[in-house]
Amino acid sequence: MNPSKARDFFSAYYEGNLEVGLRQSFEITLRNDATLQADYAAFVETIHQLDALKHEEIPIPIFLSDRIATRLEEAQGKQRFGFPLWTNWIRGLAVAGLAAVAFIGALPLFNGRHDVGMSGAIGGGSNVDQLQFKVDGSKLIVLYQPSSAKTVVVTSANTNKEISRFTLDGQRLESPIENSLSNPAIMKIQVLGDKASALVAIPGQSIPKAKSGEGSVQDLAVALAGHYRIPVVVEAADVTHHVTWSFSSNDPRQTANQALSADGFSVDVRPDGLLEILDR
Amino acid sequence: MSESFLDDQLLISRAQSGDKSALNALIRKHEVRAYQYAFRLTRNPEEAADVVADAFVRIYHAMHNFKGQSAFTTWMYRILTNCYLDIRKKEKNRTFTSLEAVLQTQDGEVERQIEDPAPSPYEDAERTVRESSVESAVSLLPEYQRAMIVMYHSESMTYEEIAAALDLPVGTVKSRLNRARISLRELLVRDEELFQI
Repeated sequence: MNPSKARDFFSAYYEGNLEVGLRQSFEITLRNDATLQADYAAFVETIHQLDALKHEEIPIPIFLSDRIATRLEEAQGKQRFGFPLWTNWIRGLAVAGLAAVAFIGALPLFNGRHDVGMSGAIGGGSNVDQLQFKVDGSKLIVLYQPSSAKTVVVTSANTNKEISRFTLDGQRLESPIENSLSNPAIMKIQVLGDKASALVAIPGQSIPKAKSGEGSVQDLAVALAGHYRIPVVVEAADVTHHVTWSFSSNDPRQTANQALSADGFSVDVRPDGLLEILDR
Repeated sequence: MSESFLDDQLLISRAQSGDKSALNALIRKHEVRAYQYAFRLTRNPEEAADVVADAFVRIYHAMHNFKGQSAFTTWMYRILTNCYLDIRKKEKNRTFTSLEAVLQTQDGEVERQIEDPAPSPYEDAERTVRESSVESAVSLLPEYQRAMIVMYHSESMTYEEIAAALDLPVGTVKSRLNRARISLRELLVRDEELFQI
């Protein structure tokens, strides 16, 4: 084997994929050629440098979702599909501030029968009177059908500004929530007149870089939603309780449990992907 | 399930039957990964976003043709790579249409241009490499080599996955990747020599 041919086998030799005969021939050539030895050493160093590429942090631009939506709309326009409401999900609504966490088509559905089959309830009444949550694709859907007149108020958990209000009198509320901003969002959903409330954290379009953190249970919910890109519901009396967390695991339940288990909270991940943090 | 955990095949089946929320979920699930790959190829946020947007439009149009013979992500990488190559080809054509001849080689297209008194690409490359690290050196490789390097070393794809994404035999991927690594080493060595001056 000449040195030129040996260079063709640098990768295979480095990865241990050369068959025995070729490997022996390669090693003989390598032993007898100082230039080739230097080249191979430099090659190995390059591989090590390349392996560092996967750790490069790449920020996701805020305009990415809008760019995709625009192109899809243009494509639909050419096909005469009509007004493309369905791409609205993807747009960042940063201009609208809180509205970036959008309640989409908050329609009280009359006489609808929905087999939700989940927990995530607040309010302490019967199942019908409890707020419920389910995950549908990219959306977290809030469901509620009180037996008496009730008002549901949604506020930003960070600023306490009201985002949406629904007055129900026998109707069913079925409202998807989506977050088209870069960062995760958190909101409080409360039935007026009830003591309990739920915090809902919705992942944003990018994955935050932080590998660990500390703060309140509310902060933990935001961090979990952002890191694992899953919705998180917190039903707890005290969400200011101080906790620390580390994203060393790929399992959101394990991360949440490690942060909360010693503090009287329970954690569950439902089959639909919703992570629940409860204080009971 | 949340978009993070929903099976791609399930979303694709739903999208193929006209469920646009499933297509939305599929895009949301993969847009970050798609962008990171595109950015590693282009090193430019605007161009990377264009590559991703074009790719998702192609995916939208071709969704009904996807048979599931490869993973969705493999298909997505193929489309992203094609969009990237197409954008680069358009750029080249726009700049050099009357001056170039295109030679088809095993590694893709190489342009032959008339002599230009401006700094040569080699000189530009030297200057760029001097100011940069391995990421920038990768950006100096020919597009196809760059795509392979990024797929293998940044996206952690196997040779088989790269072969499927680029529609090449596995052996070809291995040999071209080996050449790409050696080319990269030469660029980095040149960088080190510049610093020693």
